[in-house]
Amino acid sequence: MSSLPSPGLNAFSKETRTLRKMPKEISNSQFLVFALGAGLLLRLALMPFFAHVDLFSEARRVFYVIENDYWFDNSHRFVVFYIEVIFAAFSTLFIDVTDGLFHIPDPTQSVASMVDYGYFLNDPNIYRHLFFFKLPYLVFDIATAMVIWKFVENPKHRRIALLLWLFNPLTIFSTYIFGRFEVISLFFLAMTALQLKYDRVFFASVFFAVSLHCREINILFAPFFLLALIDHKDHYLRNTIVLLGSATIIGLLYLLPNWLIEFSGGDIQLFVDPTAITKGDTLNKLLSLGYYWFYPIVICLAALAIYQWETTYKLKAERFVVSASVVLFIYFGFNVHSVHYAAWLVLMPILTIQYGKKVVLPFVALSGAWVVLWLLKTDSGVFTLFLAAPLSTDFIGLGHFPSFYNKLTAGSSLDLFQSIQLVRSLFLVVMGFFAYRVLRQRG
Amino acid sequence: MPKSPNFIPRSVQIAFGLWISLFGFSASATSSELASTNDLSKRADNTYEVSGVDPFFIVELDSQTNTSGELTIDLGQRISDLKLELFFKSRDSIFDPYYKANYLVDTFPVKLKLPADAIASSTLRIDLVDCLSCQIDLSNAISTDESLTTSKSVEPIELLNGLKQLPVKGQVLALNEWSMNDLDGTLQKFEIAAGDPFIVSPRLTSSTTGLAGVYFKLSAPDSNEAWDDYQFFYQTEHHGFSVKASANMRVSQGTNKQESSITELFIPLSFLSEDFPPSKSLEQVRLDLPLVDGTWALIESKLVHENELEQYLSVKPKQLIHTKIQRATGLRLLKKSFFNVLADRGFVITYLLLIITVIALLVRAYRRYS
Repeated sequence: MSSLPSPGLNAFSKETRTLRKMPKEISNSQFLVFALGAGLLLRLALMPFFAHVDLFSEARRVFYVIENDYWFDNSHRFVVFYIEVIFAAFSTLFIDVTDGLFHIPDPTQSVASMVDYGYFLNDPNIYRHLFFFKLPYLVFDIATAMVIWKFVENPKHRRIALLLWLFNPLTIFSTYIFGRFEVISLFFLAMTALQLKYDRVFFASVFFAVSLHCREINILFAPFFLLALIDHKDHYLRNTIVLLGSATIIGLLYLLPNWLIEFSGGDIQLFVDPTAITKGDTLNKLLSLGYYWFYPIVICLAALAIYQWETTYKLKAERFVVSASVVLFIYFGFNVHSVHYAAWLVLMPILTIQYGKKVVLPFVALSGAWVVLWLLKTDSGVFTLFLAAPLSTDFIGLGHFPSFYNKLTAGSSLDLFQSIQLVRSLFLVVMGFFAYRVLRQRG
Repeated sequence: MPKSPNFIPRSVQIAFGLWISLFGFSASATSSELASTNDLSKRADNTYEVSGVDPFFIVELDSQTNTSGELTIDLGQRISDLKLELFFKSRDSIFDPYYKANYLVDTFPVKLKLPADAIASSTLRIDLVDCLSCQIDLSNAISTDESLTTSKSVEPIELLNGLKQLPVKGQVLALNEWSMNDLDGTLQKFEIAAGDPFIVSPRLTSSTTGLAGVYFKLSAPDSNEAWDDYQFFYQTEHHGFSVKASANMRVSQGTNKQESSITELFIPLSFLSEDFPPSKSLEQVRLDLPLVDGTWALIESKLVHENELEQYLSVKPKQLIHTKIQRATGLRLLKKSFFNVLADRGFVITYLLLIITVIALLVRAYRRYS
């Protein structure tokens, strides 16, 4: 008897083998689980081990409020603050904060001294402190990822959007290495855009008002949010009612904390240094155009407002996310303040992917320009190994890139200052590139 | 050919020549010499002035000094309460810091009584301590001429003849030799008198091998504050008391500070033997006290051996900052960071369980959707 298989069977086996070798397309749900899982593990790996002194200062303020029952002070970022308070109160089930580690000797001093931070760094429970204090950020970060997933509809585009959100260095650094709360503010902005997408103006206005209590910068989006509500196809009366209704909701919710302060028995000045420059002085300085970046930003924002007025044939959400993106490109084109503020740049351009905007390459350029700029522009405690001090205080003072660069370029015309100016200009170019990609018409 | 007049017979000449050469050789072999100086600048008049923070000179000893066991040093002038530090053991021109004698001299020229081990040494190093504006004349500094001085030889006030290993049960520090600053009373009962109160241990000669840290048991008055700030300084062969080598502690009520006003502090120092280069000896410790009115007392102080570490860890202040001169780098830093994380075992176990749970849930969800 022959043991050879028949030619037909042989051909079938070959086909089966070929089919097995073919890469299996993973479903959207699988992709979501896989990407979220990888993103979550990356975040968990960073959460307990890195922090800037600002995170500790924020934790001290939060525990001060819990200890002293000063629930209605006039601190801004009221929403972020109370989210942190709720999580901090929960964390006290697992960590001991009764030994004075978070004590604020002087509530007018908002930022912790390096001695106090030193005690925090040397606390044996520092890792659980950092883990719990970043927990609200993780929750809002993942929630934002889910909103982005829901906002972007095209299966291929939503994958790109999700990956950009989960693995961009700006958000990861700002939230889990530097340890700031930017993602909470971004979550409420993402929710605003999502509600606009479904034409829910009331909820969009509520979420936008909430976002104003997360970061002051969001006030820049307010005129563009209101402009996005206008639809020239609608009757002017309807447009007026929608605009006034939305502005009223935003205004009332914005003023709510001030009323709560009144009801709670007065104006408690927490974490405000009475000797610091007053708000009036800042405003006067702003109005007298003491800031070099004020003129170009105002001019560009006015131009953007005109553009938005002229494009009311587009969808509300599209107009909002595009204009909010460009607002940030304008702001960061002329003004660089702190390393973690760049996290604001991430969300809105990602949401524009829903409207066919190609932002991957600008994102890569932005990430590169941001890293190089802050390597050059950092001080010893910002974009350095100082942020790894919770692992060991020996990381403090290990030197930073500018000193190395100064040695390298000693005697050369391309010194540190010149290099910063050069990269700063390149950063402006990247912002322009981003704006072009976001504003460019489809097709 | 007539002989030239020769008043000295040849045999005498030869004998004289031999005597001269032998005497000369002997003299050159036995005279002590100034071999080198450090942080001492020679001036036009051949005197030296201190020009740095570490002034010392090295001398080669003659056999007579070795026999007499005394070293006479003429510094050219009287310097009141001069402190000298004499190192007497060297290898390859490097003096061992654990073999030294300290002198306090007020007689001139100075005559030092050498320790037994120093007598056998052919090279000595003499450091001028706390003498940064001194001017000295070293032209006739080292002499074997006994007629130069009739003064009595000075005994060392302190002698370190190698390091003592720390016993496995630790070393209790005697309380009768501590010094105090801005404090009134005795160590057993004192009050704070001014703004910089601290207590300083006697000189220690302990090796840092096996040293886990230093323990203090104090009777401290109650303060109105939630905690009191202490600062601890330590001195090794590399440095004196310095903020760069200190530890700040924030001692809160109920943990280190018990109801009976007893405050117990354990300050870890195990890193001293792990430094590069290691600090081999702990020479002195100092504890700065918080400004709290009332009656204080030092009840006990001890160098703790690593075998006893477990029983003292409970009184290690939770809020403790070590300021160190040395910082770990590279692989050592990574290793140190890893062990720092492991210190909170409860967190590590929960953290790992959390990560494993997340991975397990993800795998399950991924399979469910496939």
